[in-house]
Amino acid sequence: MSPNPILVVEDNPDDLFFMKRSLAAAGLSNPLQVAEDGQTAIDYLSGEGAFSDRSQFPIPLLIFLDLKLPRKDGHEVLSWIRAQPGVRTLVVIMLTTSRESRDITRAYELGCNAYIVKPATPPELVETLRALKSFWLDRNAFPEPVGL
Amino acid sequence: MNSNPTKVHERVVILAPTGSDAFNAANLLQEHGFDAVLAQDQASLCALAAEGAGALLVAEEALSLSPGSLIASFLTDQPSWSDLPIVVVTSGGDVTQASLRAIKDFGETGNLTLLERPFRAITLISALQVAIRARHRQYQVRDMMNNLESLVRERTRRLEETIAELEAFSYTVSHDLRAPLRAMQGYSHYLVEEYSNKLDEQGVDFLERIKSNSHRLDRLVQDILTFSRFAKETVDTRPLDPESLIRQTLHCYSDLQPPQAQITLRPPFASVLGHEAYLTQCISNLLTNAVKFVEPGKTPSITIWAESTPEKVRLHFQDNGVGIDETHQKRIFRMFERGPNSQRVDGTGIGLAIVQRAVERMGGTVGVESSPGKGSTFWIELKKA
Repeated sequence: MSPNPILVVEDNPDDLFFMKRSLAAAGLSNPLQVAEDGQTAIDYLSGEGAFSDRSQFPIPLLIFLDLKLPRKDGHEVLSWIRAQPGVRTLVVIMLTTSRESRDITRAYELGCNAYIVKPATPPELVETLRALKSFWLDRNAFPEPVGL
Repeated sequence: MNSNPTKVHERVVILAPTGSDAFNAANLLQEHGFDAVLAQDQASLCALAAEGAGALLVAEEALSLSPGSLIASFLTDQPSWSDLPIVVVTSGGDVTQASLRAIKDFGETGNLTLLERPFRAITLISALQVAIRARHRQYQVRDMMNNLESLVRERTRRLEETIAELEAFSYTVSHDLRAPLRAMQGYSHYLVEEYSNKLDEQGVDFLERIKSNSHRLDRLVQDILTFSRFAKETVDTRPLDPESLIRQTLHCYSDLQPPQAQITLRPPFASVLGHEAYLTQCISNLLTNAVKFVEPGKTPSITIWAESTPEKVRLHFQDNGVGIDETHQKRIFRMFERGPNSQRVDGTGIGLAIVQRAVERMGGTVGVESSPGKGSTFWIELKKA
C-alpha cells in the first residue's frame, strides 16, 4: 500500500509548479493530491462527488493549505476540517504569502499545526520543505483518524 | 408646558409652598416677559429643571418644610457644562435656619443667590435676568461641546475608514504583488540551474540580472510593507532589555557574526520603554546597515553602548564604515533616500525610514553623528523603564 498522500491546496499554478518540484527535491515522496480551491479541498476530504473513491483519493497524511483561495478561503477550510469527525485531527500546515498577524492569529485560533510564510526562492522553499519533512514525517507521530 | 427648547431653557421654575406666594411671583415674572412655571415640590422642581430651565426661584419656606437635599443632589449631579442659577428668597430680619441650610446645601455645589425680603420687584427681575443670561451661555457651551463631540466622532470614523483601506491595500500588495515576483524569481532560478549550459556567457549574465532584480523588487515590496505596518499612531510600550534584543539580533544574522563582522557590546544597558517587535526591527536595520556601508575589503567593526539619564536611555551604534557627510545626515532617514556612497551597496532606501518611524511610535528620537571616512554613530533614544 502506498503511503498516504500529501494534499496541497493551492490555486496559483506557478506556486503549484514550484511546490511539486521542491517537494520532490526535498525528498517528500508521498503521492501528491492537489485541490485548486477551498471548496474542492472540502469535497476531497469529505469524499464527495468526484472524490468518492477513497482508494483513489485517500485521506491525506498532511495538508499544505494556502490562505487566499477561490470559493472558500484557507481559514474557512481549516475551520471546516476542525469541526469534521474523521478529519479533524489532520495535520494542517498553512503555507501562504501573508505575514499579517491577524491571519497568523486566526489560523492558530482555528487550530492549524504550523504556519509557514512562502519562501521567496526555490532553494529556500526546498530547505523549508526539508525541515518540515524532517519534523512532521520523520519524527512526528500521527493520530489515528477519530470519529469516523 | 411649553416644549419649545429655547423657551424651556429660559424659563424660571418656581417653588413656593404657600400658593399665593408662588402665583404672585409667577404673575410678576410673566408681566416682565419671563416664562415662569410652578413646581409642586422639590421632586417636580428637579424634574422640570432636568427638562431645561434658565433659573430656579425658591422661597425659603419651601426648604423649612423639608430640607433641600433633593435640590442639592440635583445640583451636584449636573453635567460639566451646567451651573444652574438658583435664587432663594429669604424672610427678612434674623438669619433663619432655612437660609443657613440653603447656603450650606446649595452654596457649595450650586450657583446660589440669596434675596432678602422685603425687596423691590425690580431687584428680583434683575437678579433673574443676570441668572438667565449666564444660563444662556451655559447652554451655548453645551451645544458647542455636543457639536465638537459629533465632529470628533465623524472625523475619527473617517480616519478609521482610511486606515482600514490602507491596511486592505497593503494586504493586497503583500499577496497579489508578490505572487508574480516569486514566480519570476522561481523560473529564473530554474533557468539558471538547468539551462545555463545552453546559453552563452552573456545569456547567463542577463538571467542573473533578471533574478537579482526580481529579488530586489521583492525586498522593496517587503520593506514598504514593513514601513506601512508602523503606521499606527502609537504603540503600547513596556520595559525591555536592549542587550538581550541586540544579542538575539546578532544571533539571527550570519553577516553580524565573526569573521564577517566584529561586534562589541559595552554593558551596562539600562532597560528602556519600548515595543519588542519595533525595537528589534530598529536594531537589526541599524546593524545590517552598519556592516553594509564599509570600504571594500574592510571587516565591519561595530561597538554598541548605552548612555542613560534619569529619564532617558540612548543606545549608540558606532561603526567603522564610510561615514556620512553632514549635508546628507538628515536626508538618509527619509523614505527612498540613500547616501552618496550607497550605489554599490544593495538596499532599498527604506531601512532608516523604518527606524525613524518605529522609534517615533515608541515616543523616542533617532539621529546620527558622522563624518566621511571616520565612520558613523547612529543612536536611538527611548524613555527609561
